[in-house]
Amino acid sequence: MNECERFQAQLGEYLLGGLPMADRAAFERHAAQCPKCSKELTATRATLAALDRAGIGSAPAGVAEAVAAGVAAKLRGGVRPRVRLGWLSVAAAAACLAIAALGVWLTTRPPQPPAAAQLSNEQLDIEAQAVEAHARALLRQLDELRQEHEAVSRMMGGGPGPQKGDERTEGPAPPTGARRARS
Amino acid sequence: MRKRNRLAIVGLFVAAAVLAAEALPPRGMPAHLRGMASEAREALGQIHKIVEQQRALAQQAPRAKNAEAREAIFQQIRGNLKRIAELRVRILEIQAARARARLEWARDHAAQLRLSHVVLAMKQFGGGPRAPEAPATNGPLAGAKRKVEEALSRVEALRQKAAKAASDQERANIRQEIEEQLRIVENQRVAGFEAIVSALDERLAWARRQAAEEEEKR
Repeated sequence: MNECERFQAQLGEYLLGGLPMADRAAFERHAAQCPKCSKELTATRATLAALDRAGIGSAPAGVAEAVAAGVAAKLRGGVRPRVRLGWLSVAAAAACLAIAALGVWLTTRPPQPPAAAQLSNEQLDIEAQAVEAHARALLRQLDELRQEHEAVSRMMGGGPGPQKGDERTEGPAPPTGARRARS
Repeated sequence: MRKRNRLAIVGLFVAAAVLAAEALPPRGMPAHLRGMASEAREALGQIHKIVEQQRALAQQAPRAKNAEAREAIFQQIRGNLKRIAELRVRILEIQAARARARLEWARDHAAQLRLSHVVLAMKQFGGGPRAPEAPATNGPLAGAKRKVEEALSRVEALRQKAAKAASDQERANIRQEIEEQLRIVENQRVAGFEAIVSALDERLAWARRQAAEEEEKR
């Protein structure tokens, strides 16, 4: 990079007052020596002064509103604005949920058995009936399981032998066929 | 802040769901665990067909005209035996897995069930049919069944006793015994299911050994 190129690169920084002191002296020395660069410096300084005078540095009235309207239009087109939930709204939602949960719990929970002191003979009868019905349902379920287990046992043919007392109906005995065939 | 808000809302939903679930009585055995698995049923059907074929082959064997024909029949029978052994293992594997899942359900059910749940169930669905149950004779479920029958008789007796109960203390004792009988009934469900699991495990081990032997013979 020669002196003129360095001058061009540092011109903006110099005019904005951001050039370090060490570079500043070299920059000014070159501007004094090089007519082309000196002319460039004068012209740029004049342009900046003209812009300053015209008040270009601050945005004209109405520009901020126009930008805001543009951003809003973009948001409507796709990106949704972030909704920030304040603690108040969270607390309100929490309260609603808690009330709903309590409602569900109160309406669906089984009736609590009365305490022993409030027990009536009728209540006891209902409870005993319920346990009876429950036991009968279990007996039916055990019967179904037994039938299923028997179906599996039947196809066992040989096997480890049914467990002690296992119900076992005569099933097909594949090995017999093989023995017969051999004989 | 936003993350904390979301966590709070999720937490509230979970709490509501837990509350609602707590209120409901434990559910009956899930439909997918009821009855025999369709795959096992199909395999059983295949075994029956093969067995029929085996019988026919066994009848043909003595009438075979020469040694070659007899050998061909014998080989068919061997192949069928191997297939049966494989199918037997498959069925027992399916049934054992199913029995374990049922046992797990039964344990959960027993842990959750309360006297109030069975009272509610009876009010909602009635007492159920009073069809005569097959008597408990033998088999892995027989012990469990016998104890449930005993509990049933005991509860019937308690009902009669409850009708005559004259004091709070007497009623409290009867209630306690009713609850004990309910516990016995639920425990027998678990015991019965455990018995099935162990019976199936033993048979599965045997069936696997048989299948390995059939494989070696070939």
